[in-house]
Amino acid sequence: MKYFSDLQVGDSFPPQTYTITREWVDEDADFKQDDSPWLRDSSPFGGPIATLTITHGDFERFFRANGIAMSGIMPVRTQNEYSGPIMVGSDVTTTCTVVDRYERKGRDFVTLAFETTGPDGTVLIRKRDTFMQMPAVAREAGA
Amino acid sequence: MTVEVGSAIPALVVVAKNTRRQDSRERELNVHDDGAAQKMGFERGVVAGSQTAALIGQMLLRHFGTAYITTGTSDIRFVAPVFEDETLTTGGTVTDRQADGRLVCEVWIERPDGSRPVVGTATVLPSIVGSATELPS
Repeated sequence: MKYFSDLQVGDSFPPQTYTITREWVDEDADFKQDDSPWLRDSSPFGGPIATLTITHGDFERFFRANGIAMSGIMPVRTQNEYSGPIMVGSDVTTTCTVVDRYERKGRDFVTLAFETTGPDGTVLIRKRDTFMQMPAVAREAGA
Repeated sequence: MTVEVGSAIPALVVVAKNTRRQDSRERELNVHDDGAAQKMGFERGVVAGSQTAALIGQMLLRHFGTAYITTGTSDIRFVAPVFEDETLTTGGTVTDRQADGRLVCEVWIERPDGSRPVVGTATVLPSIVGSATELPS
């Protein structure tokens, strides 16, 4: 098991390819209280699309796949660039790299950069998410 | 679509739901769980940041339509925890229009007491595609 404190700038993880399923989009829409018909019926993009923020859980995907404990991790900032819709039923691929880490007021912060591409390789979303680990959890983890 | 600098972005009002409270994380402290959150110093489980960030995204998408999906950016900061059953109102104001036509917006989520646990900026180039009328309200 790795810990949040083990992450270093430059670390990158194997890309993850996954399918944006109908069920996932429905669950995500309910989770985010989003009743847009674009998610369930059709959209100007030629079919239903996922929520803008369906990739916001990517850190969990990468942490779990790479055996990194998530105890007490909280987001403090999310920066996003949207280039195109994520279509329901499509396969997308996301990369993840550690691009910054710093300490402030005794708290440990890590910034992860993600890039999500569609089936044809077109970039759909670039984002940077910064997370903090609560100090009590860091002490408990021995980090 | 004509959007003037200084204009407000129509708000959304929701009651926060902590739907990730039951997430199972073996041997991990889940900040959304009441007991775990209290160990970390919070009064109770914290609503996921992805839920509150999504509210701002919904607001911008409803206002700017497809343009926000194809040209939008956001920079959102979570400055205070949000808890179950809090009434949240999204807000936004167009603060600038850049030389290329890109609009800059201040965005936030506000509690009834006026405090803002989520704040940030967003931009969109509305002249390329889309309009708010594409999305049924």
